[in-house]
Amino acid sequence: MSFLEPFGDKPAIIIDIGHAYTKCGYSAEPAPHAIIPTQVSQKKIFDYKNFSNSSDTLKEMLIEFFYKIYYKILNTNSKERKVVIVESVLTPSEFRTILADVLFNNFQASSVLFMPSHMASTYTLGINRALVIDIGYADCQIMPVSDGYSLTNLCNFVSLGAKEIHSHLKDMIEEYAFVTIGNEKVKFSSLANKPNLTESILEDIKLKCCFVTSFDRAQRFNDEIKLKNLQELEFVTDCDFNLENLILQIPGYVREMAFEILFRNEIDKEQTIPHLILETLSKCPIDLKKDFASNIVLIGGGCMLTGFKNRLVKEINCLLNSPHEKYSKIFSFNNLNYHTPPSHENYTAWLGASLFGSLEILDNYSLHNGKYKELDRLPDWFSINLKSNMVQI
Amino acid sequence: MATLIDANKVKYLCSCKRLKPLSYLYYCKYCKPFTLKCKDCVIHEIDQKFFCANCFDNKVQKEVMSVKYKCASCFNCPVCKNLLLIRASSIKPPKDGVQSPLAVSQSSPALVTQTPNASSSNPATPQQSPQAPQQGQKVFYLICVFCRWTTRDVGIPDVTSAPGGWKLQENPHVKRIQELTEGYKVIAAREKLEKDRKKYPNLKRRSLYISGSSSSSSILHADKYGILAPVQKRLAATASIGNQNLDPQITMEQQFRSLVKPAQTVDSFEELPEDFFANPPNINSITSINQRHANPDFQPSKASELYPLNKFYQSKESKRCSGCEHNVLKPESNVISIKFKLHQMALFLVPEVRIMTIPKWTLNEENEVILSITNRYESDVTVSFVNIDNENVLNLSGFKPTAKIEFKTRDDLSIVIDRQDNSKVQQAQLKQSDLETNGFLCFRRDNKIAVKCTVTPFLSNTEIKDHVKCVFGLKCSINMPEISSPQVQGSTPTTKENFVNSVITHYVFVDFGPLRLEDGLKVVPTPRFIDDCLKASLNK
Repeated sequence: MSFLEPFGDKPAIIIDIGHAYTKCGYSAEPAPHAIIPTQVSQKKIFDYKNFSNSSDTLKEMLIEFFYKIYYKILNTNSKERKVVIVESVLTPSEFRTILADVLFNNFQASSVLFMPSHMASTYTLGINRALVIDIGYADCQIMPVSDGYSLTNLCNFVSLGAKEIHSHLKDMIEEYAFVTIGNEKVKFSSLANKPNLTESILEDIKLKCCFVTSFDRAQRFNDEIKLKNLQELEFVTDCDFNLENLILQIPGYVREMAFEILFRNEIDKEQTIPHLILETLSKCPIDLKKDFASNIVLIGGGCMLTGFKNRLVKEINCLLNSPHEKYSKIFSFNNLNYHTPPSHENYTAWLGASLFGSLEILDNYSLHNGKYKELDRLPDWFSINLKSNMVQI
Repeated sequence: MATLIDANKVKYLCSCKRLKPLSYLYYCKYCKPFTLKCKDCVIHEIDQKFFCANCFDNKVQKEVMSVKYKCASCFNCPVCKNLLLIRASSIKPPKDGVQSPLAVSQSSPALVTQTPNASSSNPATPQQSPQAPQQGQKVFYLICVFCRWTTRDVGIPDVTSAPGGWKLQENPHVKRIQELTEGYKVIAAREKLEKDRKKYPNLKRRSLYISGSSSSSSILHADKYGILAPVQKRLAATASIGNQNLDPQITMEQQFRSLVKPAQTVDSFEELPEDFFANPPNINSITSINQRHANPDFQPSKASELYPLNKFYQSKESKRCSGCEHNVLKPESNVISIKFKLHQMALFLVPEVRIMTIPKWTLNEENEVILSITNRYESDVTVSFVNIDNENVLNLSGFKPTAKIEFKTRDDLSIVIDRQDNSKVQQAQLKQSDLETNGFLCFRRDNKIAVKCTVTPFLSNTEIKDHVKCVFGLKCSINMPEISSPQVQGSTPTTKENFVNSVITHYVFVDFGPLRLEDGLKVVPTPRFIDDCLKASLNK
């Protein structure tokens, strides 16, 4: 089918700018060319609000960032290329405007398509209705997608992402972790000049030491934690982590319970991922409810945590079947059905855009350079004059 | 030492109003007067010739794309991303027809434990051993000389022919993705046809799908309208899809369903194994996030799943002036050469300013600072210093000066900096004219001079952590060969080159670092060679 390839040797460039990592590559490829941190000289691009003149700084950072993507990673000229940007519908307008400005004016992209990440991920499955749950760095977004439209009125999000996990993990380490100096065990927090727990160290600890514990164990700990001391509970064995010149001993409690914030919230019981999923589902139009419930798509790097998906499913099933919860009365089914996209979760949205970017109709949906200069601004998701609905299957 | 230690200390004003260190700047000699261009305002261009930086194998873009930019014979370490080396070792042939544990030469004890596993799965060994029963079979494996990772660590079998013995890993989902792509392509083509039909309602429907010569009324008739062969081919292909499936009774959804198997759903995911909770963790067997992302197709989470990373093909990059599209930087097309065909880096035109001394700052008082200026242009350059008070320049690019720099000398003083002359070694010596500046010019050797200036920080005490920043103008007058347009040059090839004296004022933005020198920052005293130079001149 190679003669059907619309752009011949110039496939579109697909870029998914995540809050923590950016996925970039060419269209019609099964995986991104590279996954790089969304950073410019060690500064996170999405932290642009912290700088004094934020929009100028953001623009300079994006120029630098796209220069790196185009010329250092993808090795391609920016001038003649079509671009597909995968973004969340909740991206701030300011960011989108500056991004479009940089792509059209500084890099002379021939056309740009802004594709909602939730909708993009349905293309990897060939389905037209799905409830997409994106657990990213900044937050967890739940969005029903139907027939090429993101149902933004039903969108739900909660700031439970890697960022929240990292700060929670940092608190836990400072409270519970130990350091061995000589033969003595010292609390980490009592060290005089303790090493700074940066985001990358926390990420490493999270990845190597921590895991999402099984549903049964979590239930047992939650019951017992009220009655007993932490020491009496049987957590997994402790784990040593090399932190600069120290050996940081991470207790089993931290290893198992670091991710519990995703499933338990002491203050507001409803602000957890399983609750939010069912909450969104219950608000869906009645004729779509069944479709959404049997087409759940889990995307985002957060889903790749050890044991996360299993735990999430069990938590949801528990809520659906427990007579104390309201959900058993709302829904007739007692479990949901989940898709397994042909990709790793962290680039599912990218893959969807890559599939779409290889189609001939990409041109019809993209914003062309000339049109952008005529409008002199980027049409918003909700503006009527942009036909943003995609191919309907 | 602005360019050696910290390039961001001294910046120049680019023509696009950005501040950039000299090393990021280029100049265009066609845009008068010699406009500076920074890396953000030139047009970058990728060479169409791609090469592997290790084996210099070069390919054109189409070939590179078919192998996904990956070199088949060079690998990086999946642990530390350094280059993997190919190492050869010999294995003894098996005795009594039974695969015995094999002796491996030149490998560490740790590796030996891995070898039975590795070589038993080597398919080439049993076949070839009958021919050479007494000789050792040569096999190859990859090793990282930095972190000692080898392909044997993860049980990748040794290969009998390097290079090219290690296969590219194939994405496990490729088949499904291909199926989806093809399904989408068909319905996308159909959607396009339907859109076109809406656009031109008066057209006969048949005419769009005629695939060639059978109808002379076809709008695709190649001879009449001169549609190029590839376009016609594509349209014909589209038309054939349309023909097959243009039954209006079949909806797009049905059509898609017939092409693509529906995605399967699951209602539960794998449990963590029971021994996961019981066994103590081995965190060294878990990969870090960077190691996972280095291989996006697989993202191995365990160290035992690591696989050598193919090196990516690279390409050289040339740069053009955004104003006149003349090249400002063009590398040689030979991939092995690191030279340039054309390089107009600003470093070779604009004198380079470096900070020589940093005093202990006193607020609102004059502090003596020595700056050095180096000329890398091919002829002598005359410079003079300009104090800048212009508000427009001062507030550029968020650069807020916090100090005033002054050059205590005559306004019209201009200093000649010699061109670089590598043929003779010169001693540091001031010229007669330099002595008349009353110590303003305190050092001269070859193409480098040093001048004394005063810097007055005007910060209030609250901003004591702020940096001492100031801006001044460097007026350079140089002799440039006159550039005439190529047409004129062609007509009068024998004319002598004319030299034009051009004067350009560069705005130099200097950041002396924090006002309070802490955290290992120290006062940088006047170097001895400056005193020596002054003494030598006075004695003379």
